[in-house]
Order: sequence, then structure tokens, then C-alpha cells
Amino acid sequence: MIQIYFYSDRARRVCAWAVKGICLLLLGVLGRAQDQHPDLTQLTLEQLSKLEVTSVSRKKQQINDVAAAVYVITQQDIHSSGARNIPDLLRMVPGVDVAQITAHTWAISIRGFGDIFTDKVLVLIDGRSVYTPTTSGVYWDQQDVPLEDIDRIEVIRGPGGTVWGANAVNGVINIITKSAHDTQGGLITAGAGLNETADALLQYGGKVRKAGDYRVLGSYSNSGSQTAADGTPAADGWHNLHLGFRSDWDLSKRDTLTVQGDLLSVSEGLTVSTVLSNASFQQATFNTRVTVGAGNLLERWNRTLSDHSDISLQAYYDGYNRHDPDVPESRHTFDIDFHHHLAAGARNDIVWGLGYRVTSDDLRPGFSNLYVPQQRTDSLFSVFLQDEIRIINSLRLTLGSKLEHNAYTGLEYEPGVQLTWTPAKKHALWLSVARAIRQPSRSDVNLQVDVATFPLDNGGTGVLRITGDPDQDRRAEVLLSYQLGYRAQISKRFSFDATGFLNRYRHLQTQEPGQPFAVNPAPDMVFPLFFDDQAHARTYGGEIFATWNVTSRWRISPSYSFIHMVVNPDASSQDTTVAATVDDTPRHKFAIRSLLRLPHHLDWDVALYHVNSFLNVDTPSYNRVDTRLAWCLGETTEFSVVGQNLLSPRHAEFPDAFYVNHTLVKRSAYAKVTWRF
Amino acid sequence: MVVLAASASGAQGQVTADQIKAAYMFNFAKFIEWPAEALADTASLNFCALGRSAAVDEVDSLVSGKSINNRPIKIRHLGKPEEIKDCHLVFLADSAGKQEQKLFQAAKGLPILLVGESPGFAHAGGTIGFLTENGKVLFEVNISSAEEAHLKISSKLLALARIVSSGIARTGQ
Repeated sequence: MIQIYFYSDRARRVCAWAVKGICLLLLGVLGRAQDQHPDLTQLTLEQLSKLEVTSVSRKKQQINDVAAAVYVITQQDIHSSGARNIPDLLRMVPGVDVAQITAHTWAISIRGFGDIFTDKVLVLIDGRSVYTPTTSGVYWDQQDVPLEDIDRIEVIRGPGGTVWGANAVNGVINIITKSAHDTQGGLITAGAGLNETADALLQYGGKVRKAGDYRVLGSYSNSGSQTAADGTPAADGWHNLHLGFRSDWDLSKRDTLTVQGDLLSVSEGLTVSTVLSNASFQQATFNTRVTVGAGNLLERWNRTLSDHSDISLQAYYDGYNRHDPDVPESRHTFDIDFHHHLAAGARNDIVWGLGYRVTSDDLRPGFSNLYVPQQRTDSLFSVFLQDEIRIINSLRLTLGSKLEHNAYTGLEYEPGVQLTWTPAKKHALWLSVARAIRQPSRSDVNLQVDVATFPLDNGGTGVLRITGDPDQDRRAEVLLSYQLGYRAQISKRFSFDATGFLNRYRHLQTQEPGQPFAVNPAPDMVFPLFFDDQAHARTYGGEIFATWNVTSRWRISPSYSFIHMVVNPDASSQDTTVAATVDDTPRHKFAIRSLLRLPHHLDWDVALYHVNSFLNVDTPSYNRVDTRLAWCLGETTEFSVVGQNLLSPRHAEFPDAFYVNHTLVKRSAYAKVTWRF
Repeated sequence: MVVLAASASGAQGQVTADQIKAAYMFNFAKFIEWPAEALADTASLNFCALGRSAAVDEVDSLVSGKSINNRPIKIRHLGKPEEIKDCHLVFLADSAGKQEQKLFQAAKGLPILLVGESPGFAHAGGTIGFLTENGKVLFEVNISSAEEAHLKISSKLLALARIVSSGIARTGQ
């Protein structure tokens, strides 16, 4: 996170590894040290005297001191993983479940409750929230960030409501791209592989006189169809085209400005199983095509007020239009956020902020569903305050709360308390108690959808229809989370991080049966189900991961996570299906990654994943092996070969999700060349 | 969570004043010669801090474990100026600014480099004082104070310093 400008020239080299590889490995020895201070002692006096101070004095804020379960995916992790997209990158994070449903949809969740529209995780790209208030989930096919431009991904397991607000119930995934300062020069990548895999990126970064830096990029990606559950080829191939830019400006000694934007066009195939809500209520399975147009524009202005205080003002627009015959929707969002960070006295580190977001949608009727009302504009107001107090040198207490007003449930509060104890320099123990909420989505409250049909004994057809929340008295889901964590650097070569959690959820979504009624023409009948909030759950589990630098050229990173989930309807509920939510969350996940620097500029990286014990019979436990072999030619070119899912020709990672038929993930391989100039 | 809150705004490539101060102190030790008797009976170079501040934290993490001229740097946190006897460098944190005069009294005649971050530290009699100007961290050197402590300052260091001389160095006035 903290870098020195004149290192950025070196960062241009593709094969930073060839020269800096050893340095990076050793930095890693310091326990995921990428976020720590640069070693300023390497600078000469003259260089020190020319350095500009641009940020607030912080207390010793290393990742080691943070009272939260954090995992940082570094540039090195991204580079060596061979992943082609962000969902595949997230597989390596303990506590995060990534289940590919089709070639372009994923169920990504943290600590359980995974679904095609996982609603308990907040995902941000450079501060822009990318979850959709339509379902509280994320359309992963609309999120394209060239992996070469990602600086790091910070994954926080556990509630982030205090600072991040609603929807950060089980965790936050924060994708941070590199500053334009660090992506100067030209970059071309091209890859192709089995199953119609093709990727290309064209990017150029330059300077605008002395005022700032920019980069512009165009990328294209294509993936072929996977295999349907019955072994026949599926129809879920897809491609996307992405144009983007980012610019970073030094407006003055104290001000920086970032402006960035993207345009994205996606086209994908899908097999749906749905009820056709026409006169005859047929159920049908057929292939459709979805196209998406999306765009965003973001600015972020930082100003250093003094040695001890700085402010930031961020505003963005995000819009998308999904031409999906089954769930057509368009949405425009505008958000503005103000933060002030100040060090008050020697003991207090305070952050506070204000935010306003307005989102406007048009959710048009699909085959079997419609939203009432079809169009809606909602506002969200928020304010938060957090103070980190150093009680004594080795004990820090953090108190904070966010207060929000949303359009569905009104005023909500999300407080949190954290305590960090660092008894010795390389050991930290922390505990956290926090409350987080999830505000209802449009689908929770306004959706009407026919989900199934069945024959009636009078010869007619019965239709199971979900009918939203007619009383409009839906409460927000509430999580109260208790966490305990311990981090230690055992030796120069070995460090580990362990976390345990206990979560209690209330007001989880249920489906309550209503009174069946006849529809014209008789003898068809509708059996209504109403969404309500009468379920509760208790989950507990833990994650542990370690970094072991076996030698200066070989690092091994094992991790393990487990979770025990119980979901039950409240006594007042007549729901019969919510308890089965636990079926789609794997109970154990084990991963081990090996990064090896071989002679002659070769890198060989392997990752093994074991995902265990879904209770759902459609998705057995599976193992997955990904590997990457790369060769650096000089300082500008890199060739790599990647194999994914090498262990079995195909496997399922998730069952059918709502109207989407799942497909099987196939064994695949591709080759890529990267050229910088 | 502050680290991550700030990082949401994408703050990158940024250095704080306190990190620069800590790096300077490491350099001061490289470019200053202590009299032989100050280094005779200890194998380490002792950095002592009076009071707490962000700069002290940065010195803790930046400098510990490093060596200068084969002398490992040891960091100690003091509560009172009277404890500075075995120190080679004493850093007075901003929060302990009130102890400035007591520090000068206690250091009279001792071969100790006094560094401070409060405004006017060098003018008042300290050896080196930090100041921030135009977003850059600079330092003032009080050469009378250095002479009284029998410290030899390399010309490389003096070339970048602002020279201050107070005839009243270390008289506690």
C-alpha cells in the first residue's frame, strides 16, 4: 500500500521476479508485509530531503495490528495463480467459497450462505460498490478488471458494517487497482487455450506534462461453453469487451485526484428452466442469450490538511442495462462519500464520514417474473465514526458505529468494538464484537415470480408463486458476530494467522404459504408464497493460513477453513425450505499453494484445493488443481502456460440456482504471452 | 480497520512525515561521530525515546534490528530525562515537549545527540530539530550544542541542514 515513486520504474518490468524475486519473497517472510512501510533507510540523505509527505501520520498500522480477519491477495499471488478472472483469484482465500455455476456466473460467499445472488458480501472496486440492490448480489459477469492492473485485493472476513455499511454482513472484498503512476508504458497480453479460451489486453500509460499520469486500456475475453449436468455440451459460452481508463493527478503539494472510468459490453448464453406465465403455465427449459452494457465514472480527491489530518471526497456514477429475456433490468446509481481521517493527540486515530447514494431502476417483466413497482428510486444516507485508542503501547481499542437510513427499513445502526493486544513484537491477539445488517433488496420486497407448476387432481395446473412482501414491513437481516484471532511470526521464514468466529443471524428470509386461489381459466390454482423475515441462524467456524518460506526461492502457503451452519425458521414461521440453506455451503475447505523460482528465469506455481462436504447430493466434494509455468525472456516479455481443473475432466461446484441451470466446470489449459514496452 | 478504511480511497505511494523523521535519525547516526568514551563500554548504539508519538513508532519499526558500523541499534523507551545516561541518541517526542528543559539539564556535558520534533527545538538548545516545510521534512542543526556534546557531524549532514547556533546551548534557559 505504501510505495515510493521511484520504485515504479522498476515495476514496469514484467519479470520483476528475475531481479526482485528474492526481495519480494523475503518481504513476504515478514508476514504478508506488502502493506508495510517501504525501507526508507535505503535512501540517501538527499533523497530523504526531497521526499514529499502526502499522507497523515498513522500509528504503526501494519496488517499485524488490524483487529479483523484480513487476507490480502498480492500482485505476486495474482501473477502466479494463472487465474483469468477475479472469481478464480478469490479461491485462494480461506473462508471464501467460490463455486462456479455456469461459465459466467459464480456463487461467491464468505462464511456461508453462498448463492447465485450471495447477499451477505460487499464487493468494492476502487471504492465503488458493485453489489446490485436488485438482489443484494453481484453480477460477476459485469465486473472486469484486468488482472495486471490490480494492486491488491483485501478480503475481510466478518462484518464490516461499521465502516462499510449495509451488506457488509459476512465480509468485504475490496479490489484496488494500481495508480496510473505505476502502469506507465505499453502492455500487451494475448492468450488462447482449450475450450475457445481467448484473452487480449492492450494498455498504454503515459504522462500529462507534469500534472499527472494516465492509462487507457481495451480488453477482450472469450470463454467457450462448459458441459451440462447430463454430459452434453452446454450453451453458456460468453465474451466481453472492456474499455477503460484511469488517471492520477497531483494537483498541488497537498492534493491528489483520481479519475477513472470503464465501459463494458458482455454477451453470454444461458440455459434457463422457468415457468412461462401465460395462460397455460408451462414449465420449459431452453437456451437464451443475455447481453449487458455497463459503464462507470469515478473521481476521488484526497487532501492532506496537516501532518495529522487528511480528507477524501469520492463520487461515482455506475449504470448498467441487462438485456435478459428472463430478468431484464437497468439501473443507475450515483454515490458521494466524504471521509476525514485525523490523529487526535498521541493516542487517538479517528475516521469519520458521510455518504449519500441514490439508485434508480427499471425492472421489466420477464418470462415468469415481474416487479411491483417496476421502477423505483431509493436513497441511502449514512454517517460513521471510528476511533482507535491506544490504551497502552500493546493494547488498542477501536470503537465505532455506522448509522444509515435506507428506503426499506429506515434507520439502522451498525456498531463494533475491537481490541488488539500485541504482547510481543511478532504476536498479535485480537477480538471483535460487531453488528451488521443487510437491507432488503428489490427482490425481497417487490418480486413476483412463478417458480414451479404441478398437475392438480382436478385436471388443472397448480402454480407456486412467490409474491414479495405485501405488507411492506420487512425488517433488515441482523448479524451479531464474535471473533477471535491470533497472528504470529514464528521465525524469519514462517508466519500464520488463525481466526475463529461465532455468528448469530436474525430476520433471515423465509417463504410463508398463503391461501391458494383459483385463476382464470379454472381449474388452475395459484399457491402463493410470501417472502418474510422469520428465520434465524447460528454459524461458527474458523480459518487458519500460514506462509512458509522453505527457501528464498520456494514458498508454500497452506490454508484451511471450516464452518458449521444451522438455519431454522422462527416459531411463528411456516417456512419449510430455509433450513436447507446449509446444503449449499461446503463444510471444509483446504488449499495449498506452492510458488517456486526455478533457474533460467522459470516460475512454477501450483495450487491444490479440496472442497468438502456439501450436504446437497448434486454437488459432491471435489478436488481441484491449477498450475502455471512461466518463462521470462529479458525484462520485457513473459510466456506462460496454465492448466486449470487438472484432476478431473469435469465437476460440479454448485447445483441449479433459481432459474439458471448449472453447468460442469471443465478441465482447461491456455497459453499467454505478456509484452511490456 | 483504519488502514483498510483509508485504503478504500486508493491511497497509494504515500509517505508520512514520521517515516521520514525515523529514516533521518538512522542517517544521523551514520553521519555523526561520537567521542570514543561514549562508545567504549557498550557494543550497541542506543536510541532512546522520551514520550510517545507516531515518529517514535516509526523509529521502532524502521530502525530496530539494523546496525551502523557493526553496532546494532537498540531502542529504549524512557519515562524521565534522568534516565538518559547510557543513550547515544535521545529523541524527544512532541507529546513530551514540556520536558525539553529538563532534558537539556540532564544532558549537560554528556555525549548525547538530542533530536526533537517540537517547533524551535534546535533553537532552544537541542542538537537537531525537525520541521516540515512545503510538504518536505527538513532539520535544523545547532552546532554549539553539538560541540558541547563533543559530537562530530559529517559535512555531508551539515550540507543538507539548516544551521542554527545559539550561544546559550544547554544552559536550560
